Amino acid sequence: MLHNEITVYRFEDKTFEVSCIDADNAPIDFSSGFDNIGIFVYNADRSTLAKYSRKITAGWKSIDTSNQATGKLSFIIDSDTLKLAPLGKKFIEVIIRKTSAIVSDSKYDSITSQYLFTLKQSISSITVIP
Amino acid sequence: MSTTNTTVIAITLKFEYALPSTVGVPFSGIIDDPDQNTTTLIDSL
Repeated sequence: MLHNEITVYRFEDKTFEVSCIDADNAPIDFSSGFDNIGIFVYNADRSTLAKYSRKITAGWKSIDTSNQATGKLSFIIDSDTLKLAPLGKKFIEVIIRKTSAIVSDSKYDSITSQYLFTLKQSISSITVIP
Repeated sequence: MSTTNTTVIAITLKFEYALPSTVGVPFSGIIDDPDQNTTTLIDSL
């Protein structure tokens, strides 16, 4: 499957909305039954560009869960993050952990991943608009 | 920092396996497209 390329330029702030669906293509209701959700945006060399958590935790950015009951999770990649990021393709990985997990070392219950966007440099992006 | 771009980039992310209703074993799903797993995707760049 080929994804259409999504371009994001350096120094942009972008909001992403991820619609999570299950194997039956039904939206996943995150409003109950889930201990935490983690979103990772990573570079082609697998280094992490930004990471997000539904729980407010030091070192993690927040996930907007306003529409989590319909499986929609939103997060922002800000210009401070993108201005130093390597150019090229970025990927997203989402991990979820259910509250019913009974195995102590269960870091997550399910995980999925895919291409997210391509970061590009523009000629004018370092210019301050008067 | 500039203000957040109002354009929202929307994507759909599919969890391949049905989520377990009761969890007894750590559960690891796989990527939505078998032909585009993470390793293949990254290594092919």
